Amino acid sequence: MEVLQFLFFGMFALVIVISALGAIFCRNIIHSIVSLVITFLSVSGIFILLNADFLAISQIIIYAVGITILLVFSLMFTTTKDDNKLWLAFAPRTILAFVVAGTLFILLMFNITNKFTDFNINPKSFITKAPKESTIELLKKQGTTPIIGKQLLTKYVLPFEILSILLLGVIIGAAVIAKKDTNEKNRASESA
Amino acid sequence: MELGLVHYLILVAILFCIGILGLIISRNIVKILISIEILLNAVNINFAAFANFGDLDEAKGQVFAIFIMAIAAAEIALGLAILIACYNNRHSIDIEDYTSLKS
Repeated sequence: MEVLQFLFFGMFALVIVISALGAIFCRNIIHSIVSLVITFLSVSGIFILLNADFLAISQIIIYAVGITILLVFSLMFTTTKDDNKLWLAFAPRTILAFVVAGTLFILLMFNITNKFTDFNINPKSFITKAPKESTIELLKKQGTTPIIGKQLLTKYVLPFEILSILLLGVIIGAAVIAKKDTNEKNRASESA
Repeated sequence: MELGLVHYLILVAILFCIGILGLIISRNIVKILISIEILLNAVNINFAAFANFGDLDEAKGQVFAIFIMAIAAAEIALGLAILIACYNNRHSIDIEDYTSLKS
């Protein structure tokens, strides 16, 4: 059972890393968006391994469908055929990017493994505890959705409401910003 | 082989660094937005991992991951709206062309 879990984790992790690299290094922007969708789907697989079924489904609904459609539609408005030449930045910036990402990775590993000394599967720097038997039984019966729903409407109700106001503002703001300026168009037609 | 917290943390570190790399390396604005999505996804995996190995009874990390998802959707909608507005001005999606603040 545990071997199978590890196998699935390795598979998903490999697909995530390869497709995330593809999303960045593909020349054609449509190819990189398709690669991004593969990343999102495999991340939802990782969520299922982490006992987060509600998150996995939300990941597919919000990221793999919603955000991708937004990206593709904005691509239709903006990209032209010769944008494929916009592949990588100029050499100084590319080198800087590799240096920054590498340094960050080394720093993160330094912290995770506690100065490269602690290679346990549950690092001592973090407090971990196995879930209770009753919790596992509950999760098998009803999933995490009731737990998250209860938390959202009791303890975290204020952030939840603020989030809804934020989303309303974003809807209005996005519509206003992306709208073509009608005054400008009238002026252009008058001068022509 | 047993699956522990450190495997997820290493995966998240790799994914986050790929996101940072893409954020700096790309010239296309749409690709920069894609990199930001990869970054937010990495953070989401981290939250879910700590929720699994820390407090599965309350699943606080998963609640925060839901918040991050909503904020990511808001961010991408606004970012793309700004991109379209800029494109109407400049007719280019090359980040190197947006230098009018440089004196």
